This record gives sequence, C-alpha cells and structure tokens, in this order.
Amino acid sequence: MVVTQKLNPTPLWLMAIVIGLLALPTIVAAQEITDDDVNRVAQQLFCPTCESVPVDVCPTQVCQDWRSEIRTQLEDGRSDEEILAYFANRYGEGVLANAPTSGIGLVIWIAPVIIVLAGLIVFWRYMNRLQRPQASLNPPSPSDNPDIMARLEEEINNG
Amino acid sequence: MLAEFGQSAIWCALLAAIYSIAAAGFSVYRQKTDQISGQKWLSSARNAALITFPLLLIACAIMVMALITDDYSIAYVQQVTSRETPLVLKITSLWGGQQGSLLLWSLLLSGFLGVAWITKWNEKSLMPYALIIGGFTQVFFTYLIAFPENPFEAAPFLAANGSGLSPLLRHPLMIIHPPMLYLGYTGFIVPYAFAMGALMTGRLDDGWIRTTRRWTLAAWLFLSLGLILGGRWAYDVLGWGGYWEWDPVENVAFLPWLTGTAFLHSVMIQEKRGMFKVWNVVLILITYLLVIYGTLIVRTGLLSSVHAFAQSDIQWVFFGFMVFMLLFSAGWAIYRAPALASNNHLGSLLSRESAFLINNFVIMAITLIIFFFTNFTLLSELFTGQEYGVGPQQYNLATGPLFALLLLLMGVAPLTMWYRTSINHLGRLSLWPAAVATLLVIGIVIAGITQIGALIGLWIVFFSTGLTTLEYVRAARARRRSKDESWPTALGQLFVRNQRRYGGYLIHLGVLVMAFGIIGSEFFQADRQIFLQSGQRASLRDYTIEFVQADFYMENDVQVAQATVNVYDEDGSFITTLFPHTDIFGNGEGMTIPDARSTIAEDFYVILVNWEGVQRNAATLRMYINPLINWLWAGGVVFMIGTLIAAWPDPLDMKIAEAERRRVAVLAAGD
Repeated sequence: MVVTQKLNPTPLWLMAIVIGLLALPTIVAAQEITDDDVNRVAQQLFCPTCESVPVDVCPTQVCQDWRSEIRTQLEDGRSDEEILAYFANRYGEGVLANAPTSGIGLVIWIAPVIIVLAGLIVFWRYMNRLQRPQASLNPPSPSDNPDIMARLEEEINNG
Repeated sequence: MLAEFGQSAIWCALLAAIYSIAAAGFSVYRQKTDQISGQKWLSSARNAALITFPLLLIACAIMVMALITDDYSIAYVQQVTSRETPLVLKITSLWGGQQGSLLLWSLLLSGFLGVAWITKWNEKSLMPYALIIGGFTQVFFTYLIAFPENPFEAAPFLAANGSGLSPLLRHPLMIIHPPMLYLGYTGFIVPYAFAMGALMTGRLDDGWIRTTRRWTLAAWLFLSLGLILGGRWAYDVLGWGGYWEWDPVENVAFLPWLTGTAFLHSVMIQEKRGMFKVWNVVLILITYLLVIYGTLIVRTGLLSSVHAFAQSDIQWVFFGFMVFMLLFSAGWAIYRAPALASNNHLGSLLSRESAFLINNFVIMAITLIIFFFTNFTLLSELFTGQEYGVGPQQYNLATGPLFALLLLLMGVAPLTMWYRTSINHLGRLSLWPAAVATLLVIGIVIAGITQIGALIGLWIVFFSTGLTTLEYVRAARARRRSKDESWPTALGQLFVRNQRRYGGYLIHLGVLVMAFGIIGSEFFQADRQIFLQSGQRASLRDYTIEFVQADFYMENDVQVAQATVNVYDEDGSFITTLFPHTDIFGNGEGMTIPDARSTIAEDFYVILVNWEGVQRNAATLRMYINPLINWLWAGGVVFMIGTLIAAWPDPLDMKIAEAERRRVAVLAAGD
C-alpha cells in the first residue's frame, strides 16, 4: 500500500522571505550609490579643519577624501549610523554635526532647556514683585494709550 | 615715506584720544570748584576727541594711496592687493585684511563719536563721562593699530607684487557688508557711553535714552543691513544653497543685534512708565560687550582656530580690555541699582509692560543659547580637550520655538495697553486674524503640506501679519472719520504723526515677510547632486536640467570653469539657461558661484561641484530648490524702509531740541 504521506509543506512565503533576506546584502551592494547618498551622510559630519562646516559642502581636500571614504563604505553596504560611528571613533565625537545624546554632547541638548526654565523662573518672580503695589502709585495717564485716545477722539467727534 | 606719515597720523590720533580722556576727567574735578575753568577743560577734551577723526581719515587716505600706487614696501599692501587687482578693489582692500579693518573700525568709531559730541553738546552733565567712556574705547582701538596691528608696518622683504585680495572678498556684497557691520558695531558705542555717563553721574532719568534713541536706531539699522547683505552674499557666493549657517562669525554679528532689539523695545517702558531702568542700562552694557566680543572673535579668529590662541598677543589685549569694561560697567550698575528702582508697578500680567518684558526674556534666552553654542567649541576644548561643534540643526531646534514666540508677540503685543489689558479686548481684536490664519493653514494642509513645525510657524506668521495690518486699518479709519481724509492720506499721515510707532509696525511686517521666506526655505528645501555627461538630463521635483558643456577661460587673473545648463519645466518646455561656475584665483583659492532661476515661489539654484578636466563634457552638478527664498530678501527691504521711517528725524523733536538749545544758550549768557 502506498502510503501517501502528506508532507508538511514549508510555506512558500516563508521561503521567499528567507531567500530574500539571504540575497539582501548582494542587492544592497549592487545598488548604485548616488552623490545624494554620500551627501546625506556627509552633511551629518563637520569638516575636521574648518569650523562647523558640513562635509557635504566643504571644498577642502580633507572633506573630498572623507566623501570618497563615505562612498566606499556605503558601497560596502554599511549603514549611515555605522559610517558616522566610524568617523566618530576615529576622529572623536566632535566631528558629528548632530550632538550625541550622551557624554558632553548631552550638554548641548540640556543647556537650552535650562536657559529657558531659568528664564521662566526669573520672569515669574519678577512679575510677582512688580504686581505688588508700592508706596508711590503711579498709574499711567490715558494719553499713554493711543488706542484710548483714538477712541476718545472718535466719540467726541461723533457726539 | 608715505608709511611714516600715515603712522604718525595714527600716533597723533592716539595721543589726542588719551589727552581727551584726561582733560574730560580733569574737567569733572575742576567743575566742583571753578565752573568756567571746568567748562574750558571740557571744551578742550571735546576738541581733542574731535581731532581724532581727521587724523584717522588722513591715515586711511594714505593707506588707500599706498594701495592704489602699489607701494609694496608696506606689509599690508603686499598682503591684500596685487598689480593685477582692479582699481575699485584696490580701494576696498582697505578693509580686506586684519590691520586695515581695524583702521577703518577706529575711523568709523571716531566719526560716530564726533557727531555725537557735536550734536549732544548741550548734555553738559553727561558729557564729560560720555567723553571718557567713548574715548577709552577709541584709545583701545587706536592703540591696536598704533602698535600690535600696525597697518603701516614695513614689509620684511621687498616684493615686486602682492599676493592679491582673497577671492571671497571680491564680491560687491562682501565689499559693502563689513563696513555696514562696523557702522552698526561702532554706533552702539554712543548709547553705551551715555548710559555709563548716566550711571556715573547718578542722573538716571530717561535723559540718556532720549539723547541716544536715534543713535541706537541708526546703529541697529546698519547692523541689520550688514546681516541681511551678509546673508545674501553667502547665498550668492558661498555655494551651499543657504544664507545662514550659524557660523561663529555670523553669530557674533547677530548677538548684539538681538540685545539691541531688546533694548529698543524695553526703553519704551522706561519712557512711558519709568520702569526697568536697571534693565535698560544692563541691556546696553551687554550690547556693548557683545560688540567688543564680536570684534575680538572676527578679528583674532579665536573660535575658528582655538590653537591660534598662543600665536598672537592681541587676543589677550582684547580679552583684558573686555573683562575690564565688563567689571567696570557691571560695578557701576550694581552700585547704582538701588537708585534705579522702579517707581511704578504693574496692573496685570496682561499689559504692554509685561508684553515687552516677555519679548526681552525671549530675546535674552535666544541670545544666551546662541552665545553658549557659539562658544561651545572653546569650552569643550578647555574641559575635555576635544572640540565639539554645534550644528545648524541644533541651533534651529533650540531657537526656532523661541523665534516663533517672538513672531507671535509681534502681533499680539501692539494690542495690549499700558498697565492693564482685558482678555476680552485681546480676544475681540484677534478673532478675525486668528480665523483667517486658521483657514489659510487648513488650505495649506489640503494642498498636501503636513509638517507640523512649518504649519505652526505659518499660522503665527499669518496671524501676526493680520493683526499688524489691522493696526494700520483701524488707526487710518479713525483718522478718516475724525479728519475726513482719504485712505491714502490717512495712512500717510499715520507715518508722519507717529513715525516711531508706525515705522516700527512696518519693521514687524518686514520681519514677518522674512519669516515666511525662512519657513519656506528651511522646511521645504530640496537638493540633488548628480554626475552628467553632455546631453544627459536629471530632474528635481518639477525641474529637469540638461548639462550642455563646460567651458574654461581666463578672466584677468581668475581661471573660470563654467557649466552651461538648460532648465526645463515638468512639461519638458525650455525655461532658461543657467551658468554656474567655479572661479579659481591666482593663489589657488576657489569660489563656487551658483546660478539661479528666481521666481516669487522659489529659486532653482544650480552649483557646479566638479568637472572632468580633459573631455570637458561631463560635470557634477548640485541642484537646490529653495522655496519662498525671495520673500526673505523682499521682507528685508520692507524692514529697512520701516527702520528708516522710525529713525528719520522728527520735525517736532527737532523744534523741541532747538528750543532747548536756545534755553541753554540764554541761561549760559545769563550766568
């Protein structure tokens, strides 16, 4: 008797994914790296010799070399983050245009918040003090408010 | 021979400035015992201060002559010019280098101060102190060009030719924008000198503010012009598709502009309500210090290269001067603080006073953030041994929301009243502009734009523009009713009757239009870089370019590589031909000049990044689409017109001043 054993078929879609995943590095490598891809990474790095000039627009030789290094690494299939990490490792975190969210780079993120908070506190206390009536009250004369003057003028004319 | 003559002129100016300080100081001392003698010493001090201008003018004239006649025995001439340099550029290379720039700085300072000493001569009690403070700054800068940064220094070797002006400095906008910045910088020293005078005499009413209000506005006008022209120069010449990169040199010009803006607003509270006297003095002190700091940064390149720190002593001289002025000014401010107490109080958190105060706090927060970020390279180098730069995104992220708040205040603050404003009043007046702004933004969302930051920004711009426009409409309508004037007459009369107020609103409108352009170009810029063979095409959004060819030719001493690029629209019909080029100068420095097709909606901007030298038929091009960028420049023009209206001498003020002069003259005769 022929036993027809029903095989438990490997789902076709799963196979497709596995094959796809295996093939992925080749596909990425085959993909042509455009200047725009290089610029995308380069603009997140600072020129190491000029002050705060992004590598994508910097005309110096160093930055040209960096751009071709970025291109090579992209062609090798490295991700943007990996390339940035490579430069940060090699030349220090200072080359990153977007400050890291750890270490001293954190200061760049926190400082504005502290400045604004401190400003709010000082402002609040100052306003409270100003609103306390003092001995010499001196409310403004109506003529200081042009709007009131305009309205008065209008009413006088109409009446 | 010429050089010695120029050098002597600078030395004489230095001596005159030193004498002026001494005589002004002595006049204060004599004033106590012998008024007439005190007055004589004061006149003498002023005359000495006035003579510095012609002396420095002679020095400048000699320098220009040396530049024109190719006198390469002077080191500076060797450095900034060459025989091939065209005549106009020879003249403008007066400020093409370090020493010449400082010479021009000193000249402008002495000119500004001189006009102040002449026109404000009736401010007798503040004058000696203002002379001392202004004179001290003059002495410092004249000292710099007399000794460490002498523009007439002999060249170490005789050369037949100079090395030529840096290519970046040959552009007309680059020629014009530094003197504008210097005028702005030096102009702020006049209100500072009078503020210090007020502190030192204890005459702390708003006299010094009224005296110097137009000076402040003029300084601010020049600084604004310098910033806008500088932005335009970067856009036209630097070839990175933008106008503002948060570069240290840009930032240090922007910082005193910010505090100057805060000052221009907060003085109004003191004039109307007698409040914030300490604050106003502090603001002008900060502005002055930022001016000195900015000059230090730009002139010594402190931030661009931390390692240059040890190379020259001038940084330390500068730094010492700055610290001294800081301690001196702050000391006086603290000493007088009790006398500067406000004699008023606030009726409500909703009032014109608090609106101005919030404006000041927001501006100071922006200033602090930019100052901190700008110096972060230096600080991180000091503390960690490694340089950290702060990128444009970080600046935009930190200051963007604060700038948006300022734009909102710009619309709302003019609605508030002194002392107290009701929320109903504000609500009633802002209902329609808010509704219109919301409708417009909904329209934009329907058109497919969903970036939340941009939408918030645009709403604020529309809302504040609506409110500001309504200010004009309501005031003109009131005039029409009461005076029976036509709309144009009524509107024109607003500017005549209250140039400060309505000129000021025009400045606001200019800023809002600029903000519209900034939001457009910051949020929606697109770019693409591509390598093209002759005849090949590439597209970016609705535009398609075709690279035709690259050409190489010599223009004077400049080697030009120029690309010819045809631009087509989405239907494939030809729009225009652009010629982006790269200029390479004799000294090897290059400059990337973009070419752009400008419309009111956007710029299509193309840069020649690289080219194939031999075949001449392939090049790398970078295309940018900068939406709404031309609104930025148009807003700048509106801004300038508004500032001119606000700063224009008021006929009524002139009459009052004239009457005051006569009164003083009569009193003096009566003595």
